[in-house]
Order: sequence, then C-alpha cells, then structure tokens
Amino acid sequence: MTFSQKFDLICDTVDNGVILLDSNLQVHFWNNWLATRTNISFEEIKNKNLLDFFPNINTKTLNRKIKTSLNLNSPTFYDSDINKFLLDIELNKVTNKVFQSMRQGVTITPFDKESGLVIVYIYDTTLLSESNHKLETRNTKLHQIQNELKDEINKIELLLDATMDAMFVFENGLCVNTNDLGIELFGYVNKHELMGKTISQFLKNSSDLDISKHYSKPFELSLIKKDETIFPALLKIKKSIFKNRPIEIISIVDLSELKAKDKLISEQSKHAAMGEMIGNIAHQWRQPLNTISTAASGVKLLKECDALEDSDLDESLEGIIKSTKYLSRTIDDFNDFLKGDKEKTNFNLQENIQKDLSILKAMMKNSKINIIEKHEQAIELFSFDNELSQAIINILSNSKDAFEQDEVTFIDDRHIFIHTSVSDNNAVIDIFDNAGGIPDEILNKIFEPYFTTKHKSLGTGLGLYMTLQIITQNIEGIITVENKKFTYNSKNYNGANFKITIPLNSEVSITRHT
Amino acid sequence: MNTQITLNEDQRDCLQELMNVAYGSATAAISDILDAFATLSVPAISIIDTKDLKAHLLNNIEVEDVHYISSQTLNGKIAGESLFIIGEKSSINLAKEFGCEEDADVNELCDVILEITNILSSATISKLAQEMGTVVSFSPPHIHMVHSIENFDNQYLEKYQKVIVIKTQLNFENQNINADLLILTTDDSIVFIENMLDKILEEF
Repeated sequence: MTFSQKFDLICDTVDNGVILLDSNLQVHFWNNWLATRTNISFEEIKNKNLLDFFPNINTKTLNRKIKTSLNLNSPTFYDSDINKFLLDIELNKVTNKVFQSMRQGVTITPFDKESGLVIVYIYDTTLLSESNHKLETRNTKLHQIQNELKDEINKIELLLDATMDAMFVFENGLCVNTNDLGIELFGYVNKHELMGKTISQFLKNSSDLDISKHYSKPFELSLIKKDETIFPALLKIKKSIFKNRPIEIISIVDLSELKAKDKLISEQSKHAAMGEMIGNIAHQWRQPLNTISTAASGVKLLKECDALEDSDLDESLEGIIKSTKYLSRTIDDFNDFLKGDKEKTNFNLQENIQKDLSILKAMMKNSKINIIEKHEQAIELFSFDNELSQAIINILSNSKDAFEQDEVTFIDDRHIFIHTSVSDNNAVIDIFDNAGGIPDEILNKIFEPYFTTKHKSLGTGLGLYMTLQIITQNIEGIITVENKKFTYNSKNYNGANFKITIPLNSEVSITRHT
Repeated sequence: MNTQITLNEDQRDCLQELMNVAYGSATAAISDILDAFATLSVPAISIIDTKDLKAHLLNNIEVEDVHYISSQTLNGKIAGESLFIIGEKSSINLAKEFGCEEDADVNELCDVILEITNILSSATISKLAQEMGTVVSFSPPHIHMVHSIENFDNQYLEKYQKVIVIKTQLNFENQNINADLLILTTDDSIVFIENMLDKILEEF
C-alpha cells in the first residue's frame, strides 16, 4: 500500500468529514464520510465549487475563516450551537428527529498558505445539539413552571393580605405563619415576633377555649393584643393537613368597630324611642291636665263669688286627685317601658298588649284609628315584658304613621288589628292594618337601620330595626312582614301584616279562655 | 508539582518582552484579517493564587451589565485557558467591524466574539509557543453569556495553585470596543514557562 493509498484509507474511514478546499471554495478532496452522507461522490464534486452543491453557505463567514486560518497559520472554527452547520446535510434519522439538518462542528486548518489550501474537518454534533436542545426546552419549561409557581405564591400571598381577616397558621399548637393583617391586628411589628407563640397567648381567658369544639364554626371570643388591650373578635378555626402534618388555620375578624356601631345604634334607638314617648306623654297628659285646670279654675271662681260649697270643693279636689293619680300611673308606665328589663319574668301577653295600647291610646284617638283585638286564648310568656312592649309599640306606631302618609290620608275608616294565637308551640302576634301596605321593592329593607320612608318629622329609621333586634336577640323569636289582603265587615282592605312568633317553652303555661 | 511557583524579576521582564512581541503579531494579524487598525495594550502579567482568581476578575474587569465570556482551551506544553471578556455594546461594535449589519443577532455576535477570541489566542499563544520552541494546539472556543462574574464558576479551579494572568485590552481605531483577554496557565505550564524563560535568558 502506497503512502497515498494509506492516506486515502485513513481519510475515508475517519468518522468525520474531510474537505481539501482552496480559498476560491473549489473542492480538491472530499472523503467517503461526506460522499455517503450527501450522496455527492468525490468524482462529482472534484474541482467544482462548493457553492454549486451548497448554495446556502454563508460565503462571507467561510471566506473570513479560511483567510484567518491561513493568515494565522492556526485553525479557525465553526461552533455548532452558533453556526448550526456549514453544509446543509439532511439527517437520515426517522424517529425522535429534533433537527432537519445535521448539526456540525467545523475546524478549518491551514494546509498550504501559498496555494491557499485549507482542510475543512466536519464533525457530526447532532447528538450533542439534540441533548442541548432538549435540555434547553426543559429548562425553558422549568423556568415557565417556576414563574407560574412564583405567580401562584404571589397570588396566594396577595390574597392572604387582601383578605379582611387576620390569618394565622398553627402547627403543633405553635404559630408558624400569619398575614400582614394578623401582625397589625395584634399590634406587632413583624411576623418574627409572632412565630412560636401558642394559641393561649392570644386569648383573654385561655382556659375557656377548647379548640376541638370550634372546628369550622365561627365563634366570638375576647383576644389580647401585644399591649395587653382586649378586643372582641370572631374566630374560625379550620383543621387541615400540610406536608403530612396537622395544622390549624385560624381566621380572625376584629369586632371592636362592629360592636361600637351596634352600641351607637342601640343608644340612638333609645333616644328615638324616648322622643316618641314624650309625644305620647304629651297626648296622654292633655286630658287629665285639662281636668285639673278646669276643676281648680272652677273652685277659684266659686271662691271669688263666695259661692264655694264644701261639696263643690270635695268634688273638684276628688277630680284633681284622680287626675294626678292617672298622671302618676302614666309616668310609671312610661318609666317601666323606658328602663327595659333586666330579667325575664312571667307575664300575660294580652295584659302586655293592653298596657301598650294604654300608652298609645291618646295618640290613636287623635289619629282616628280604631284598634280591633282578637285573642284566641290567654297566653302566658316567660320573657322580657317591657322589651316586648317596646317592640309592639314600635309596630303600632309604624302603622299609625302609615295612615298619616299623604297617599293614604283618604282612608276614613282606619283600623289596626291585633290577633294573638298559638301555633306549633309558638305564640303568634299578628299586627296588621288597612293603610295600603308596603311597596314590594322596600319590603325586605324596612328592618335595616336608618331606613325610613317617612317624613323626617315622623321617623328616625331605627324603630323597626330596634324591633327586629328585640324580637330576634332578646325575645329569641322571629319577626316577619308581608302585605295582606283581607275582609272586615264585608269590606275589602289591604295593608302590612307584622307577624311576631315567640317560642313557648315549658315554663310558659297556656290557659284556655273561659 | 513545583512548590516554588513564582517568577523572579528577570523572568518576569523576559516574559513581558515575549508577550509584547506576541501581542504585536496578534495586532498585525487582526489588522490584516479585518482591514482595520487594532491596538492591544501592553500586557500586564501577574501570577496569582487560584483561590483569588474570582476576586481578581471582579476587580480587574470592567464589565457592563451583560457580557460575553468566551474561553478556549490550550493544549500542549503551554496548557490552560484563554478568556476573552467583552461587554454587549463593545461586541455590537466589534460585529460591525466584522461587516455585520447594525441589527446583528446574538448568534452573529457570538460568532464574531469566538472568531476574535480564536484570532487573539492563536496569534499570541502560538507566537509565545514558537519563541519557546513548542507548539500549542487549540480546542474550539466556547462562549457563555453571563450577567455577573459571580456566576462564572469553575469547580476544578482548586486543581491549580497559581495562574499566570496576562491581561490586555483590545482597542479598535475610531471604534468604541473594549475587551479583556486573559491567559490562564496551569501549574505545570508555569514550570515549563519558567524553565524556558531561564533558557532564553541564558542565551542572551
């Protein structure tokens, strides 16, 4: 084997492409590796220009690299990541094909500077490039997932901080996380201060709380701030599992403001009720005061005329004493009504209603309203006597006011009906009128505080709100309102019907009317 | 491994002289290839502990926000690595020098940077090797786009005690191109260089 044969054998068996190229890009040698991969034989390409076969070659770059190589007498390179390939060779791979063309690393080595010849070595780097490509794709995906995850975490933190509740996470009874509101609510500066605290450190009376009894259902509790001030709060505890460890998520709403508002409304209602009572008192007192005045004037006149008989004086003084007694009694009634109840007592519902009507008697007469009562049976209640009175008076006042509205002043026969009955172990009080009813669109709003349709001189918007509070919270009953059409004395009427339902318990006795 | 890896004053002077010659030939090669007048600053030579290399790079290289680091492995008696560090703006100007369009993409920029790295290291190291009667073989250069020297790491750095850092700045006439070339050599190479320098010094 000659040296040339040996050289050709080596060139044709190496696992890379070998081209002997001149600076005009004319091919002087083309090894077997290239021939089999490009389907261009050495004979075909010999002494031809490389561009005739590969027109897409960037000649500027190739010429520069050849020139540099010859000039420096040192190799120059093509990087497969950057230049992709020198010769566009379609890959014969069928499955799992990432690239259409072979990725190539290329080294251009000077061969003969005089004749401008270089050797171009072409290495198939497809496998490496494929791996790189796959890695890059995965990396991009990973980044995407990482970003999405970051977004999610941000979103959760945003949510946690945007919520109206202070949130705490406890693990093994120790605080492990909270949100900004939680730090703020308890008057701490940073999260760090709260970490590791136990639940009992936040409670006013730590012994009062058995957490296991409160899972999932909100409850009220007094909590302590860092500066030891105590505030009312609504708590909800949720049991959960995080990373296989049981945790408790506690959300807390500060009730201080709500409680203060409630107190304010309650005080305002009291004032409003007092205002109305003064109106009632004025009506109630006019009659007896007239009687006293008339009696006294009469006595004075008779005395001046020297015609005062003992019997006249006795009669007049009797009248004055009766009237002052009446005045005194009304004051007692109002006083009872205003001071409210401290304890539940046993009382008769009909008597309660009679008392309420006596307070309103003068006012109702003045408004020409006829009260029609119907009691199916005597009902004894164990509840707050005066509070129930306040609620009933509020409803009756509301009905009275309804008759004063401009739209219904034409109604001549004004009636308010009070029916009491027992149904399903409940005492039921129906109070309805023929004042035309409440417009449907406001029917569900009339129990809201400060809601009023009346002229300012008539209503404060607190009467029915207070009534709802009394019935639902103190009396533990239900109050509803609806519009009702009914017939009375063969005449058709319609108006609002307030229904108060009070549960009867064992302590309450019902006696049949005899 | 030689425990006395250091250069005395004479050796250092001699190496400086050799490097000046080598960089002169590199400048000529660049000017010839690109038809542009490029200058390389007088190379500054220092021998530093490998553990201080990162701090040294941080202190000595003025890098813009994004910069490219291309590295090329040197094989032979003078073994090690050449690092070419260039900022993004300079690399765009460099690409223009190579005849690329204004809106050259990242791949074009990288190609140009790899080319200049190859030219600079070939021209300088080959010349130095030639002066020392040896040959250096160059592996294809690779490029990284880094946002900070901090994330340019080499976990095998501890394999070497010292590196010779030869730092130079490349400037093109009328072009705002600033780049640093560092040649980092391995311990064995330093010993070789030391011996060769002594030989050259003897001949004078």
